[in-house]
Parts: sequence; structure tokens; C-alpha cells
Amino acid sequence: MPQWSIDRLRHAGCTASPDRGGRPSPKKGRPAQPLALTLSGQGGLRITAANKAARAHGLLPGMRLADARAILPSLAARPAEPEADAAALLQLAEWCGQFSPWTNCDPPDGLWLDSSGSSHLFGGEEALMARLHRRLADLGFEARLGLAETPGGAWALARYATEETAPCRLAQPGRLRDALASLPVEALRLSEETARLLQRLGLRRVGQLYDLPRTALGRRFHAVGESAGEAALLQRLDETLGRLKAPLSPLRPAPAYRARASLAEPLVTLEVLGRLLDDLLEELCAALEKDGQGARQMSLACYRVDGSLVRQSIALARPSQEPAHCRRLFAERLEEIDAGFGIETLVLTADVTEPLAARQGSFEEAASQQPKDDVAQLVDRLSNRLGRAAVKQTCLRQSHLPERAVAHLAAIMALQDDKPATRKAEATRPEPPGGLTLRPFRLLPHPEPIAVTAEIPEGPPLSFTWRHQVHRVARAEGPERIAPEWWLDPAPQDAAAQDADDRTMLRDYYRVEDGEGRRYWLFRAGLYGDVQTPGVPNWYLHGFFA
Amino acid sequence: MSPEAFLQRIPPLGVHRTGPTVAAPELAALRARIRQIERGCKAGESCASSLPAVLDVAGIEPALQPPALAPAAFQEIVPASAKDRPAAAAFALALLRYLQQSTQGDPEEKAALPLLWCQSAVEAKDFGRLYPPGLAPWGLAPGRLLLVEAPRSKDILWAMEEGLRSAALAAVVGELGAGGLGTASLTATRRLALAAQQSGCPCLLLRNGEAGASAARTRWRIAGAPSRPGPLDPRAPGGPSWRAELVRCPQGRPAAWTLEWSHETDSFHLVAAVVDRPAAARRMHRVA
Repeated sequence: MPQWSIDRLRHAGCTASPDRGGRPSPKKGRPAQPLALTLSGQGGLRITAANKAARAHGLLPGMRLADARAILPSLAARPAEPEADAAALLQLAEWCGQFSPWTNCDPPDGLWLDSSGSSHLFGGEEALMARLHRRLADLGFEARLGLAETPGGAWALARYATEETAPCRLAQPGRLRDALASLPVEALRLSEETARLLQRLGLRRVGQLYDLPRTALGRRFHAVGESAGEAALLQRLDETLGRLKAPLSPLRPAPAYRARASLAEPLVTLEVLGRLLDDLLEELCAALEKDGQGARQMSLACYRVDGSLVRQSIALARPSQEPAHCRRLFAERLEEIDAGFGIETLVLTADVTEPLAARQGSFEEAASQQPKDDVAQLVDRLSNRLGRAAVKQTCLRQSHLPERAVAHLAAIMALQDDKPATRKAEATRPEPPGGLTLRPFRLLPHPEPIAVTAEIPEGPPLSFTWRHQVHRVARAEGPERIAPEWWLDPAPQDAAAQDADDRTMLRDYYRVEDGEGRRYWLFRAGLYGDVQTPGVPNWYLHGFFA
Repeated sequence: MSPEAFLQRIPPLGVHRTGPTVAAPELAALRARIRQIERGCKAGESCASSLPAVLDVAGIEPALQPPALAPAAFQEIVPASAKDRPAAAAFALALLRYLQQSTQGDPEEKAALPLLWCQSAVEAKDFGRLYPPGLAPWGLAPGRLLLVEAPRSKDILWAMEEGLRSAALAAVVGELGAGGLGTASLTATRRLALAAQQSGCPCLLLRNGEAGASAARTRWRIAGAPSRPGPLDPRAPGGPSWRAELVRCPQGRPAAWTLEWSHETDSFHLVAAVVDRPAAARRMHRVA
């Protein structure tokens, strides 16, 4: 996109103040004002981008603004915003996901799209390019498109083989070599230095490089390429011509399962969306079932006409290929979708899939019309509405410290095996860890400090004050001494830098009952008269007994 | 039926006193129907799955007429004071364990199903989360717990209802937070009661106060009670015990008991009142 920054600014200005009556368009016969974007550079402000009107006066990127003003006093200048440009480019790359699942941005002003496998949806590659160009033009972006077998070839074609009147250029399969021959050598994505050197040697066209001896070319341009941190000339040449693979990674991994619905009329109301989603889910789940796969994560991308998109995802605790279950999870997400000016394309993808063996339905299930729900489906519903951190499962860990002995895991990630046999085995009287030691049934997330009076320093408390209320201790049992797990604590030198609370201390736990029959779990951190911990040890309340 | 025929079937006054002329099976059917209506079952639907289970403790039955504690019932537990919230939660655990045993079907099968415990985030911060190592005596393996934490009681009630409707759970417990956030409307409780009845899954709601109307037919008010001396050390706290007050009960009359839970037998015991006698005398007695 030759005018990415300028177009982006116009687009932003237009969306920010829509009441100005549309963007000034040169096509409508009203010549645009010369405009340049500037960024402070060497020797003052320098132009980073100039619009068509400015370029007509001979202003080029890289010029100083003062020089440009000397040529064209009426030049309007705006500060360039490279970060905003990059962010908008990323958004546009996402939006292009409706044309192909494989997209990425090519900073500062390009986009990559892999059209293989998706061009037939639009009636061939040429039709796809034409449509993409038209859609981008509708959004106010001037775009040049190149399509070739290799990314390098497409890059070269888009930038050096297109004109304003013919913005799309397609290299027929096997004809890329010829198509590139007449292009300037810069089309090979070379560093400036290499390009300049080639120019000086009289090698101006890509075609001139084809017949040169490779060894000489490699030797001559090897050092330059490496020192500049750029790929060497030969590598670029090979990549462009497809002799060498040039891997590129997409913005998001292309999903294996994808269903797409393109709408003739932009969708403004959400009622129809639900029905469309039903169809998409049917299609996707049929594909999943055919391959024996189940989705763990699905997302629905709604591409809006104004070049933005909304994406809603659902996660599943177990792989699923049931449209009805997924539809139920999507039901609430649909309400959150803002159709904006209208949705034109819907793409449903199964982002994460896992093999799912075909399940034999039970006889009872078949008899009753309503299939029995299982725990995984419940977890899905709860997690998708309340957030995956809100629904937890617990598992025990090997630790003496009470708060470390239990791990809370998001249930959707860690749902345990559903086989009744394993659960039954677990349910039969699980032994408490540590034999006969009593543990509270509820534990505070953080021990709460309490004020304690004790008969003798090392003895059980007589009374304690918790949350401004005094509890008289009627009975007490203890101490149960739990030593710090020094092998898990940070090293002493780190601990000194950190807060002292992070270090665990020796704890003496007491089980106490107050006069009104409530049972608590208290502990004293540290010992009286300990050399390492000066002062009086603190007491804490940590849990509750039944 | 014509009016004449109808009149003929009405027994004369004197006969009514001495013995029923209405056929015994007919009467039994009517009684069964009334029972069904009272329990809220639909006609023709068997109520066998929700047979009453009374707390099997001597001294409680007179107060708890069936069907005070149908297993698939929606019950409310209210702490007597803010400090008794952990005690109320513990009572919920005991009640679940008790109900699980008294239900029909394979208890092991039931024990394998997960328990959904929904808790308000405030409550979790103030009074802690369930701690699996301490739940082993209640027969709850760590993998069986499904904990939900949500800031609003609206979400908690929704999660409870979802759990009841899924029919994949052993029981559902909800714990509402303190303050204005922890309220449940009459509609919400009615929905829960209905869902619990349809699914046959016990549902307990721990509320933070008595305020507000509720559709629950049974409501307990729970406070902690001094435990009996520990079996090994008389100075140590003993097992779980509560002052349990039945505030609301469909066919029984409100009453209060001191209950104790025995992990050995998985049952409630009634704690008899202790004779008022100086503690020292008892100790001397034992020495002698």
C-alpha cells in the first residue's frame, strides 16, 4: 500500500468526525490539499510520507520539511504516528482474515495473504484480488496487489509491477521468472547498500542477475549482506524465484477447521446471526466428526463493513463436536457482539482440536429424548459465562505448609478423567495426607494477624482478638509444629531484598475452641527468643474447624 | 354422577363416626394424592425418589414429621451470627453427607459425582475457601469438588441453577456473601426449589441473614456449640457440633437441638444436656 500512513490518517479522521461529510476523495474531482507526514530526523523534521498532490510537486519521503516548504509553501504537515500506523495495519491484517485464514502484516505498509485454498471461494485468484482491492478502496485505502507463487515474488510484483490504473498484478504459475525480469533490483527486498552497489555495477534489472555466475555473485555480495543484517543477494534471489523456501508465519495459526458465511447484505440485526451460526456450527461439526476430532476452542469472527472485526471465543473442557452444546455456549456471546454498521462475513473456526473417539450412546440415553448432560458441559457453561478463573478444581500437592498443599486449577483446563471407575476409587474414603493430623475444612486465603494473650510464652493462647472481637479460648490442642520448607523458599540473598513476609517461618499450630463453640486454627510464626527473628512472634488465624 | 347418586354415597352422620363407608383403597388413593400435592409432584408422577428421610436421631422425629427432609429438597441454612458462618458451612457438609446416605440407589455411584460449591468472592476472602485436606473425613475427594467463585449473588444463583439442571452433580451448595450483595429474591429461590425438585439433587443455600422471603420449605439456623472433650485429650476440642434450630419446616414444628456429627458412623447424634455440676467434682470422681 503505497500511501498507507496517509490513508490511515484519513480513515481515522473520517471515523472520528463523520459529520464532516465524507473523506475528501480525489476521484470526485476535488483535488486534495498537499499533505505530508513528518517525523523529526537528522537536521530537523523530515517527511516520511506525502500524498499524491504533494508528490505531484516533487516532494518525496526523506526530504526535510523546510526544503519541502520552499518548493510548496501551501504544504500541510502533520506529525507521523508510526505506532498508530502499525496498530492499524495489524487490525487490517485481522480484517483480511475474511479473505484467507493466513494473514500477517508486513511493516511498515504491507500485508501478506496466503490465497492458496481460499481463492476458489471468490471465483479464482484474479477475482479475489479485484475484490480485495475494491473492498480496500471502499475503506479509503489505496492498495497495490501482487500475487505469485512465492512471497518474495508477490512482494516484488505488488511494489514494482503495478500502476495506479492497474493495481493488481498476477504472475501465472511458472511464469514468475519472466514477470520479474524487467523489474528493478530493489524488488528483491535488498538492503539499500546492496541495491546501490548493484546499480553502480550496472545491474539495474532483476533479469540481468539471472545469467550471472552464481559463485561470483555470492562471493561479491556475501559480506555486504551479512554485515547489514540482511539476507544476502543470492538468498533473496532464490527465495523470490522459489528455489529456496522463505518461511513466513501468519498472524494467528491457520485453523484446520473453518466455516465461512459471506452475506450479500450486511447484517445489522443479531437475530439472523444466531441462525447463521447454527448453519456454520453444523458445517464445522460435520467436518470435525468426519475426521474424528473434537474442538477445545472455537471462535467466531464477525467482519464488519467498516474494516473492523469482533471475535468471540468459547473454550471447552473436553473436545466436543456437538453443535447444540457449542451453540448454547455461544448464545451469550452473541449478545455482546456489536454489529456496528453491519456484518458482512462470518468465519467460525475450531482453533484447538483434539482427537475424539466416537462414543457409543447408552441405551437409556437413546430411550430418553433428552441426552444426559455431563460435568464437562456444565464446566463449559459456567466457565464461559463467569470466566475460566471462576470455576476451579482442586488437587493436592506435596507440601507441609497448609496453603501450599492445595492447588486451585481452572476446571476447564484441568477437568479430571470422567470415567466413573476412577472417580469411584477416589471417593472411597480418601486418606487425609499426613495420617491422623487434623486439618480445618476451610482455610483463609491469607492468614490473618490476631492479638493473643498466652499464659506462658510457648503455651497455647488464653484469648485472642480477631477482627476487633475478643474470643476466650476454652479448649486448645497443640502445638503442631510445621517447619519452613527452606528448599522452596527463595535464596537468602534474594529474601533479604524481598519483603520479609515472603519467607516462611517455623509455625506452631493450635486447634482452639472458644467459649461459644467455634473452632479455629491458629498459629504462631516463629519462636520466642529466636536469634534470627527479633521481637515478639506474631500470631495468625488460618482456618476453621467444623 | 347424578345428585341423587352422589347423596346416596354420603354416609349418614352416625355411621361416619363408627367406621368409614368410603372404600379403603379410594381413601388411600386420595391421601396419596394429597401427599403428592403437598410435595409438589405432578399427578401420576411417582414420589418414590423423594421419600422422606428424617434425621435419624432419637428425639428429633417428633418434631420432624415427614417430609421435612426430603433428600431432593431445597433447604436454607442461616448462621445465627456472622461469626457462625464457618459452622453453618460445616453443617451443610454434614447434612449433605447425611442426605447422600439416606437416598436410594448406589451410594458409591452417588459419591462419585462431583459436588458444586458456589461461593461469593467476598465470602471466600472473609471466611476462606473449602480446604480439601480437611474434607477427607466428609468423604469428599479433592477431584470431586467443583468450586465456583463469583462476585455477585446473581451469578451464584445462576450457577446453582445451571448445576441443578445439568443432573451431573451429587449436590449443589451456594454461599451468598455478606451485606447488600448477598441477597436472593423470592423468585430466585423459587427457581432453585423447582430445579432441585425436578432434578432430584439436594440443594443447600447458605444465606447471610434471615431477611427476605424465600421459597425454601426448610430453614436451619446454625450456631457453633461447645464440643465434647476430645477422646484422647480432655483439654482438646472435640468433633463437630452445632446448636441447630429448625426455624421453618413444612409439617413439623420448629425446635432446637444440640447436634453432634460422628465421622465414625457418618451420622448425627443428639447431645444430651449436661447435668449442672461443678467440673472439679467430676474430676475427683474419676480419680476415685
